[in-house]
Amino acid sequence: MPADNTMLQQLSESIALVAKLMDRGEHADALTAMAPWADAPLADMQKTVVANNIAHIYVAMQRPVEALAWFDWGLPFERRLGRTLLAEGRAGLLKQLGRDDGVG
Amino acid sequence: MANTLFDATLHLAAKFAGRGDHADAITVMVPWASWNLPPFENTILAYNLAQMFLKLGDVDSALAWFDWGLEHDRAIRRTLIAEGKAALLYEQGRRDEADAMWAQMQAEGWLDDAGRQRIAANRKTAAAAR
Repeated sequence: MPADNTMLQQLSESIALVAKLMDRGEHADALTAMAPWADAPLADMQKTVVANNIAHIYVAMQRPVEALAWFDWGLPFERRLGRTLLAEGRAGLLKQLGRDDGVG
Repeated sequence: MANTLFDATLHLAAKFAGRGDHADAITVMVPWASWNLPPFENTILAYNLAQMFLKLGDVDSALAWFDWGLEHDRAIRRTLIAEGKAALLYEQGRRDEADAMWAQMQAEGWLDDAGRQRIAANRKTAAAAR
């Protein structure tokens, strides 16, 4: 592939674009820009970043079911890293929804 | 699923390009080059990326994406990328290289009738301009 960008640099650029689109309220376009990364051969850390981004896009679209699904998709990667960002995001969303599934 | 997302990506890239956001169009398309699309989709990707880089005035990157796409073009016996590259080479004044590509396309025998006429017309125009 001719581009000098590594995959991580491409991901970084995609995330920056997604942030721009989210600021504009262009949530569907943000999802289109981010969703393909879920199938990319990324390390666990980058997988959690993708999961977090997609989950928050769905939150902004007021689609909590899909948001929770993406938090869940990322949790196994996050647990391997000993981090809790997704777990906290999931818990926060459940609290907003008036639910408590007890997942920490 | 992958092709649905790819189609959506192309539509988004077209939307970005339509409003002059060529860099953003490139951003959404480039990652797909690493994700094992079938050859036809890769030729579409290569062609679109080359066009976006040309809009940014980056001829070298456009040629690089055409070169990346050539193997996918050949894998399905098409000339979308080869013709795109040849046209760009011609526009850049690299007429011998362009003509060599056209000659190769004629020799390979993959062109349909319209393609044969198109390439023959290109070569005739180029020869007349010498």
